[in-house]
Amino acid sequence: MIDALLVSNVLLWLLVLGLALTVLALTRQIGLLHERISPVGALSPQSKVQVGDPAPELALFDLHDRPLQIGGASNDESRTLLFFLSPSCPVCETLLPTVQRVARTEVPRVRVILASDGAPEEHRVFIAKKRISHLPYILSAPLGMSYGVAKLPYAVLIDEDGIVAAQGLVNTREHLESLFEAQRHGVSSIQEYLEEKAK
Amino acid sequence: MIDPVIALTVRAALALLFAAAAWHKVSDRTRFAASLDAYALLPARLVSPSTWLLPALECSLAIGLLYAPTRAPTAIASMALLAIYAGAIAVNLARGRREIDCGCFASSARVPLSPWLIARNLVLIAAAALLLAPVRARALVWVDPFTVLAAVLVLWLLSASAQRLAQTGPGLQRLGGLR
Repeated sequence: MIDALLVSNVLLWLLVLGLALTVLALTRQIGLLHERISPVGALSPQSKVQVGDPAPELALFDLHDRPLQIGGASNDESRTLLFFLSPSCPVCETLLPTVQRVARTEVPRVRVILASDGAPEEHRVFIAKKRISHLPYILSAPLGMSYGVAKLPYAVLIDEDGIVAAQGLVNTREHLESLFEAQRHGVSSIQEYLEEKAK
Repeated sequence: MIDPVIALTVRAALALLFAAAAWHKVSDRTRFAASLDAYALLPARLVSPSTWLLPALECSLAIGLLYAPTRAPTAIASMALLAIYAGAIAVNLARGRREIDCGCFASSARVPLSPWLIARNLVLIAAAALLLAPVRARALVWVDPFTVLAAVLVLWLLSASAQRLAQTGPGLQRLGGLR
């Protein structure tokens, strides 16, 4: 009996050694991944409003005739995510679930506002199809112009004091989430982040 | 002198390995033929028969390892086959042909050639060499079958992880970047 246990024990140690080596190799690969896949940031083109500037203040009505105040200090300590989209933009559609998740789960709270322009009928159909009637939806050309939105989908994160915290062209979930990362780290762009990291 | 449990574990694990290898080759013969062709070691007209011959050989090795009376000659034959495989990989590495599918694993896994594969074959040869040592006579108790079974299972999982690592490692290298 003692022989059997001895053999079993030695075998066990050898296998544990093999496992440990595998784990080591795995952690090395994960480390390499972290090193090689640099963080993805939203592309910030030259825009009218710079990060750190106060967001242009606008009082508007959304498609559901609810009054909305954009810009200025928030009275309930919530941030605002302005998501510029268009029903005819497929990338915007793929990002909608992420936008909805942000509205639901991001802490501290984020007030999500969808923004577009054009004929209301088309947008009403889009809202019904995508089941996003719970989110405010603004049709306003001046809103897009005041933020200098040239390409879609474009997102602007405004902090609780009404200051633009991050903004940019968002083509993927990572880009959208990077806006929140940017606010957390207090950097305005991916270039700035990489420069700081290199120091 | 090796313990019967060690001998049984090595036999079962090697048999499992050969059986799986044979299965992978037979289940996707076109890919295996392409892979053999890429090694550029066999004359073209031998490639097609080899896609049957090698799996058949591996299958008979698996059976021979499990059948007690034939295990010593089978162990030698296994070492020879593994050495041939290692040699084929070494020759192609020396030729600088790394980007060919090694054909060693399941068809879902395309593993490029690397020195690691030679190291793997050397370890397997060493394991087969263990079988040539005389087995110590001792009565098997209830815990022994459990040890063998668990060890074979863990070895199988470990080899699967090693295979994944061999697959993702070169993928990482290709990502480029700092190093």
